Amino acid sequence: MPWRLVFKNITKHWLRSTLTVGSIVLAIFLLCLLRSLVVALDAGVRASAVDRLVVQSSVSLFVYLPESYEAKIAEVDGVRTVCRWNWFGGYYQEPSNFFAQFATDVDDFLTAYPEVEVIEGSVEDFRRERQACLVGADTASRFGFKVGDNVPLIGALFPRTDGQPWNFKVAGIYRSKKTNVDNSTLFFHTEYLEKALESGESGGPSGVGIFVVQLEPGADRVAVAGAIDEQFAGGPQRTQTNTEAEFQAQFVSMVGNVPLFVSSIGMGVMIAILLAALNTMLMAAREQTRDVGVLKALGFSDGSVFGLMITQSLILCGLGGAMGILLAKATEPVLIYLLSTTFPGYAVTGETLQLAVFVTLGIGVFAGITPAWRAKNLQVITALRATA
Amino acid sequence: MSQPLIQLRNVTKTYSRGGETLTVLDDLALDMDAGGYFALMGPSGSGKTTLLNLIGGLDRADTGSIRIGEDDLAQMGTGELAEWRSRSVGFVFQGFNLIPVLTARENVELPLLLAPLKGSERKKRAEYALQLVGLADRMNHRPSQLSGGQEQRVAIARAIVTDPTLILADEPTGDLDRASAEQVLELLGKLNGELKKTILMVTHDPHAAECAKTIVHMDKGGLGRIETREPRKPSAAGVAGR
Repeated sequence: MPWRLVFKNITKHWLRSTLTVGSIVLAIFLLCLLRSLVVALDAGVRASAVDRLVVQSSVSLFVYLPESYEAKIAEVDGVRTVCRWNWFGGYYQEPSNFFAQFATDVDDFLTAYPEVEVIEGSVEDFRRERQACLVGADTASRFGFKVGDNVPLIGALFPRTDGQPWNFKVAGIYRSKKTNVDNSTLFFHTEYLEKALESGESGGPSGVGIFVVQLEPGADRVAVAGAIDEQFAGGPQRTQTNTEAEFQAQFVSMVGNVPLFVSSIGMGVMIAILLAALNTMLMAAREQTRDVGVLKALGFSDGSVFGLMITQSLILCGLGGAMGILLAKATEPVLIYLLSTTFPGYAVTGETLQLAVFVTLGIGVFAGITPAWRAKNLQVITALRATA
Repeated sequence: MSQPLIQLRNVTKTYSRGGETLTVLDDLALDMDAGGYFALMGPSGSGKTTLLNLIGGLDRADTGSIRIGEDDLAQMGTGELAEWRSRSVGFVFQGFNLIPVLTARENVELPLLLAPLKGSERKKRAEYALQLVGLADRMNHRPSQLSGGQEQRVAIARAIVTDPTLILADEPTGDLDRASAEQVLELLGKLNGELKKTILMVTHDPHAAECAKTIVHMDKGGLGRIETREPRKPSAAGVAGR
């Protein structure tokens, strides 16, 4: 293989080559970004626990269930613990400083979610103090929260009647071992919210958003879910009990078919870049027609000429792809920070990188194969007659 | 009696153009001995270049046989023919046909990439070939930085670098001024006289043809008279000095 010729052909039109490489960098970066967003959306579903069920209103996730359901659910055969989850919907200082907060039954929560690991602070302090909270590591890092800090949150859904913010004390910082629980949520005691509502210190809806049920080992998920829903079939609120995976999938689908939408954009970008790369390679091949004739006249085989053309394409695309992948990895920490609220669990995974490499090679082969095939089949005499 | 280096028997070549079949070479038979210096002359369309391309294995005859030494070109596949060209023939074209992005040395090195040689050996041989054509000081120049005569000398260096038996030159002086043409002809004469290369040159120019030992005239796809003569000694210095 005349490598020097390959290199010089690539650098001959440096602006054209740079623009081609640049477009592939952008395409592969976008592919990694969009794929990572889909993975982030899907991560919760895939990592969902098999021994947990989620009980919600059959009408909507936004319709509250009566408090009394907790005891009745706990009586169903196969149920180990029942844990209340209430969306708090507050923000820190500014509405733009939004992150998820849930009021929950702390003891049951810690039992049902063994993947939640407290990496700083104390679980005991979290259990003991009513105003204590557990903050995800990403949110702690985003706002600089430390163990022992007081975190004032403005309650948008549960505004305090005195107009003051709610105060939470950071008892611990957690990191989840699985992606079904993101690292940006704040968990606090349901009792803190209940007391404020009972005493009139706060307004807001009463009831429970969802119940998370942990099953006894070996319990039949479908049977337990059916038993729970049957129990409340007569009202006052009918329930819909799903596995955690189904619940997560339903949550994702609430914002539309994002994976399909994102994948469609990615596919469109890929096709556009593919055509641009093909156009570049066809232009380059046309310019090199006489060179191909010279090489063949000198004794280079049809296969060598095919290899020469496709190698040029693979190098250009490979360079762009490698830079796109590096850019995706380099921007990963920044994007994790920026997307921690909307796409918790964003990560450029090994699978995404493999896909990017595969797509890069695919573009390289696709863009190079037509000019390479033409060059291979070109008659020497015809090629030598071509004008440069 | 030794066998001729080039043996053509009943060679016919036709082309289809606009639905018509043109017979470019018609039942041609010709022998050329090793170590000869042949000029193929004739008007445009007489089949000179077609014959050169067939002898060089760049094209295939419709019928007949072409033997170069022990090799029967009609029996070779495309790959074998390419391999044969790389070791047996050196080409010099009218338009030089150097690769524009490569330097003179890199152009001359190209055919050596097909031989099992180390990079240092390739470089050495390319530099030697360029020295032979008097371009040792232009090795790192690109074709666009050379004159036409220099470009053609680089092409000659590329043609001889693999030490082929046969050198085929298609109008090698066609694009050159008189002085450069004489330099190129002088060089071809040297390759024939000193290095014993067999040279077959297609030319329109009677002045260039006079440098060959044998002039083969062609007309309408057939052979005309064949002249064997004392070659003229080209003199670049003489032309340049006028």
